[in-house]
Amino acid sequence: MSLSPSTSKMLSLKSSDGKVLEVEEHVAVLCETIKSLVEDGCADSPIPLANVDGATLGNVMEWCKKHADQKASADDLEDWDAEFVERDQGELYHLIMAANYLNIKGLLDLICQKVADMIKGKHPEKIREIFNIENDFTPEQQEQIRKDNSWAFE
Amino acid sequence: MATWCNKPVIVKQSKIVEQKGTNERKRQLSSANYVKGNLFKRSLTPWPPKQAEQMRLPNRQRFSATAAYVIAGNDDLLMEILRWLPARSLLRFKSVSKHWLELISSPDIYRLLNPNPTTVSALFLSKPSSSPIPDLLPLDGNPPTAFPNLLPSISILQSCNGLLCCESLERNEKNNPDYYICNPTTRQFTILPELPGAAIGVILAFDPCESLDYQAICVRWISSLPVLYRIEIYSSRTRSWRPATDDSFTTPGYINFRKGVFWNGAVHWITESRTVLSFDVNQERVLGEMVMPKIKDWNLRSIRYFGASRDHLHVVLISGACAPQFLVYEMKRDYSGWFVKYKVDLRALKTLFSDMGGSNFDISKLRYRHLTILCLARGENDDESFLVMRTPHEAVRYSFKDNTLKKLCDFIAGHDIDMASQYIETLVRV
Repeated sequence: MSLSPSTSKMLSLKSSDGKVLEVEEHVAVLCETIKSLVEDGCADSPIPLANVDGATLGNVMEWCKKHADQKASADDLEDWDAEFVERDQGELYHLIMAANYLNIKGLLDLICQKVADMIKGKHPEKIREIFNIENDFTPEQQEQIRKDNSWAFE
Repeated sequence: MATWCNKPVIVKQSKIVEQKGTNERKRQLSSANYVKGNLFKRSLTPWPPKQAEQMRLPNRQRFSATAAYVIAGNDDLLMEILRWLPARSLLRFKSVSKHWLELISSPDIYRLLNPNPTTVSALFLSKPSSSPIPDLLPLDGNPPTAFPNLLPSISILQSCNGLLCCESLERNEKNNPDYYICNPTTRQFTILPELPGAAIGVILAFDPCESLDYQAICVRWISSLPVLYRIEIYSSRTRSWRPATDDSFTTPGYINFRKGVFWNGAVHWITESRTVLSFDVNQERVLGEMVMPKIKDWNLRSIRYFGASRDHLHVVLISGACAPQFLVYEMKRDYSGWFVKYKVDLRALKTLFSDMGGSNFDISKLRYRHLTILCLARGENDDESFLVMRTPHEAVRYSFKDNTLKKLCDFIAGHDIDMASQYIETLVRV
């Protein structure tokens, strides 16, 4: 399907908290989920997106708009993406869930990579805190894992 | 242009801003307003909160923490994050919980981490036997480091998609070396069971895109008149050696069976008679020979490099004694022939190798003995492919894309490097 910006029509997207966002179709179809709705002709009324809140949807569409811009060079997009991911962790986690739900591979990879960068140097205890995970190892098991992978704990 | 139809959204946003102060301004839609920084660094409130404290939290923080918890409960999303982590972090995060240990130990993570053989991040530089500890030369410009000894007195024979095949410098009671398969990322190793007789070459066959099991191919010499060889195969699944189904075979001339390259499901060796002999690991048989590309003044020294990277088999040939120009050939996947992948002309470089007299050095006089190709690494995109070469005193990285050189490190005179093996991160168990 080829949708050029000049012929693109507007789509209405409705977030979980009832906000409606008007987006050009060629931008919105970067979301595979929306693209299949458009292709099946089911995109007339506001498309309800039950798993994405309004603020996150705004962020997602901002990313899609930039990435739908055919004039943007690869270097341009890289710089822009680097700016885009500079936000607090809560927003990043919401973007991951939205990118997954809307099926936007590029955005999912971008945000997951950013979160990985943020957590990579952290102590396992910090990881448990962030993701609310209970440490279900006995001290002996814990010690064995440390021993088996000692160089990674240096 | 994306426009909000529902004005109250903005009003609601501003309300939050009033309640929570500056941090909340990040929620506003214009990217220009994002406050840079990492939430972890804020010291006002410990973040994220313990679950018991959640109800007392301001909305915004509860919102973030819940999102993290949702992701933690969704293995697919968690894996999407974990796959971007370096091996070292993953190994450390095995101690987070039993569930994380299971995720990080599962074959799925190997596949996600290594969908195609990943980029070469460093080279093991094997020195002649005087010092068994190899140096690790990072390819990002950081200085070389001594690689902590995995095992006492071993030398690396070959690197194959992240795993190393090594042999002991000391002999066992049958006067044969022991062979090891090592994973330098996890620092795990396994010793291969004893062979029925002396090996003249042991080559590792490992392709994580196909399987997480690996094989070792051992060539044994069984008779001298006529010259006959036989192949034994070790499988990581059975943990034992067995003879290949194909019978013994002979070769058209001398082959250094220690220098085999695994690519496309087969091990390849260069023969003295300008051909490549291959052994198909799945079919367990010796394939017909492929002829080398034709060049003038052929001799065995014309072959400056023979290796595989990201599932491409390359050979670098230099014609005659002069080295400034050379061709990199790649084998077609169906073995129908070689094609020229890159043409390298070092005369186009003005600031070559500082240790050869800088800009006064006449590049057209560059001799092949001045130049050793240590590694040809293909990038994920072709633009990122490069060569690592060494001159008498330094190692340089050459980019095919823009014909530029970057110095990686100095070598001390006399510090001979006889082989470089690729270091590719992998978590595969050996």
